Amino acid sequence: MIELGYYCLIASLLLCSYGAIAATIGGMRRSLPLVRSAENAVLAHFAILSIASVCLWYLLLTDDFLVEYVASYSARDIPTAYKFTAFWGGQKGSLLLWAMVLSLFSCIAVIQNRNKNRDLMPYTTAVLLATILFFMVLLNFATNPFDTLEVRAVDGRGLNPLLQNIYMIIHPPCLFLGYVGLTIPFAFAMGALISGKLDTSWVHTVRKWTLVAWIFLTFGVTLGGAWAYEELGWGGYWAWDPVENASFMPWLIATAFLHSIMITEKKGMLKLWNFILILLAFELTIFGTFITRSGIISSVHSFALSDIGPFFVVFLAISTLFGMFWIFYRSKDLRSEKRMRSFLSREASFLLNNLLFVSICFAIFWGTVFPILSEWVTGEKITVSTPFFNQVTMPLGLALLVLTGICPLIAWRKASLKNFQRNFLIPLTAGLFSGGIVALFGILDWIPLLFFSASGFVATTMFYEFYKGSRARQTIRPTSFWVALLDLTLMNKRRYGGFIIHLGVVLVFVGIIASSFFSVEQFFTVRQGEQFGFGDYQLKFQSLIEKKDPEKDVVQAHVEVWKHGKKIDELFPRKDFHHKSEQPMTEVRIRSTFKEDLYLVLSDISKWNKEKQATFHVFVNPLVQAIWIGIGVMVMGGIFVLFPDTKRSQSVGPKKPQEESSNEIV
Amino acid sequence: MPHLKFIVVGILIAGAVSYLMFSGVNDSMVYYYTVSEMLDKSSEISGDGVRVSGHVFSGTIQHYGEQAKVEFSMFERGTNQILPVVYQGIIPDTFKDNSEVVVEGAYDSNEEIFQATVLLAKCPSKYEALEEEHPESIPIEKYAN
Repeated sequence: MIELGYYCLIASLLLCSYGAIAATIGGMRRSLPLVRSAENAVLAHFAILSIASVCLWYLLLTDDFLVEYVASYSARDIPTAYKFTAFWGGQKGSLLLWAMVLSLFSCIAVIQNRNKNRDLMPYTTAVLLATILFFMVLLNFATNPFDTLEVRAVDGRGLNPLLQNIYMIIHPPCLFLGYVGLTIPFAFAMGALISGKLDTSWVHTVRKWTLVAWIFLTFGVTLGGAWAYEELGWGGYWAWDPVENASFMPWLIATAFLHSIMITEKKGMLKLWNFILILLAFELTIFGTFITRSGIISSVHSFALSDIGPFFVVFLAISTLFGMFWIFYRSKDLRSEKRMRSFLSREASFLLNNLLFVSICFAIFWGTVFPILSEWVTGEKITVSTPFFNQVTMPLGLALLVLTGICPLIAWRKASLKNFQRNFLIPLTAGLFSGGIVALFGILDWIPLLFFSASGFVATTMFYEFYKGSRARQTIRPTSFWVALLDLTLMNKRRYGGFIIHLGVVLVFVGIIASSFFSVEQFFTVRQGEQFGFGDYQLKFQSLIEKKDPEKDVVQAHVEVWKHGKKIDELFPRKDFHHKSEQPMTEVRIRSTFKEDLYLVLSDISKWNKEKQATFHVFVNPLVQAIWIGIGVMVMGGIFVLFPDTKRSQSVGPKKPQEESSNEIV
Repeated sequence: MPHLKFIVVGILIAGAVSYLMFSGVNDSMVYYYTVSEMLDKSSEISGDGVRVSGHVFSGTIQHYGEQAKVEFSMFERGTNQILPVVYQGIIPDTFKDNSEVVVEGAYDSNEEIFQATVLLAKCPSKYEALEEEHPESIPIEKYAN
């Protein structure tokens, strides 16, 4: 099996080298057989790489500790599910997974376009295969997952206990699917540039690809946060660590891209800008992988100082220069069909949206690479931390949030004063009203007040849009309001799915602001049987129990949670001492409600034996659930948009009301 | 020229973002030193915010259960300089003898101790447990990070 895997990797390398060359020559000579042969190489590559992957899974499941990778990330006594997921537990396997997913996506793209986009496809195929080739070079020459040890290991080292949970099983592949998903739009963009077929057909083709990638990225980034929240025990979910930033930056640019292509499809503007964005998004996925794996920026998540850094630098440089060259070369042909006329237009609000997304990304990038830059320039390593990121992203985030509400309210081309008065009155009033209510609850800090007012404004705009649209439909075809609402949403999935996503965004903002500004924490050192009060809660420390498992020793506290004189819950925060790992694992327990999370950490037990005391660290984090629910809404909205629009029924009159004009896309 | 006003607005936005970034950097930048660099400069930077990286010297961790206070010494591999640290707050699970840590805070040159407000210990890596050359007397870590 080891040899088979090894040879499959070599065969894959040769196959995609061949395919990339064949596709390029085939495109230049307009030779269909050659291009078809390259496309078949994509399919064959996927088949062969699948065999390699099956080999690795087989080795993992059969505990073949002759393989270095298996010995490093698996062990005899870990559950079978973790043996299976140990595939992406380490660097080598996760790069193989990356190549696999990219190969699979390339197959789908090739099959979908057998009879479409024929001008682009040779070059798109070549770019896809060249990207795969990079990973195949890595897998063959730098980090081969089939490398063997000199002597068979008796047992593997196992998977780190911190990583043995559901989040860490889903999180990495989810991010990879997002990262890889962005490679496809990039390849189509390059195909369009190289072939010179610069109309919007590539944009139509990649819209859904980008959306799929965006959904996975959204989900993947959030899973990382959820994992930190539940496993790391510091009460928060986001620390602006380079590794977190690395996953967030492509998300920002992908989001900007999804917005800008709407303007291109609708108005023929921002053509050049799309190419720049997708190049940026692609490079950021590679850059993100590079900084997390090369150790060049110190991160709390120490990913090893492996030797693949230089490979990434070379690939980043080549692909960036290549992309920039083609964008520059075609820039004359990428002029907008129309000019933007006014700031007070929907086009301008999209442009502003894009500038804000890119600015946020740039600021985060700057903060992330600051230590490297300052060392080059001044010779001293200077880092910036959380306050920098918060200070920069908060005002820009607020602007973005407000814009989300403004955009649907202003007209295309140029909005009039009348348009303003008519559309803004209700949402603005609602925004001020929600700010007022929040202030009545005693929240007088102006930043949260601004954010909560903006959230009220945006949410009202979104609901108002649904309402207006449904009422308009009712005037054409008399049905009940709810039927009209359903019809409206189903017939214009892009527009109304987008609004659903924005409602999710509002929830996420509310959750982030509430939990960052109004979270409280305290340490309590208490004796067995003692009570301590925190916020509305009375916590009673009942006992500390020690248990011995074959794998670990567990010290578990039993804490009763009382509120208003009633026992509402029991929590069992604990510390696990895994035999294989020397560090204890603090397992927090969270009592989560929509209003707030009670987050309980068993912090110190060193005084238990002598004095029957334990130290707890307690947090009350308000509205954290709003973030998870909001992300859920965003993901559902995204999936909803993926479905094709239902055909318009015949009975709709030729003259449609303004709100529903000609299949609006935004 | 209809383009002009867009250019002006573009410059305004760029200016605002640059201002935000500039002031953000000024407010939150800290020098990042290794243990020996920090001790070399200890007299000039006493009291200033710095971030120091190093390893926990085996056997020096002393817990004071109350309020999760901890005292320990940091060393830098390949040097013989040692930095005593006192810290109060959340102690990460990964913090143990020999683990790689980063502390943020200020050096008190009178007491000759580093007052840390942030303690980060390296997270378990999903990728490559990295085996370094270990100086004698330091046991090989099973999980390098």
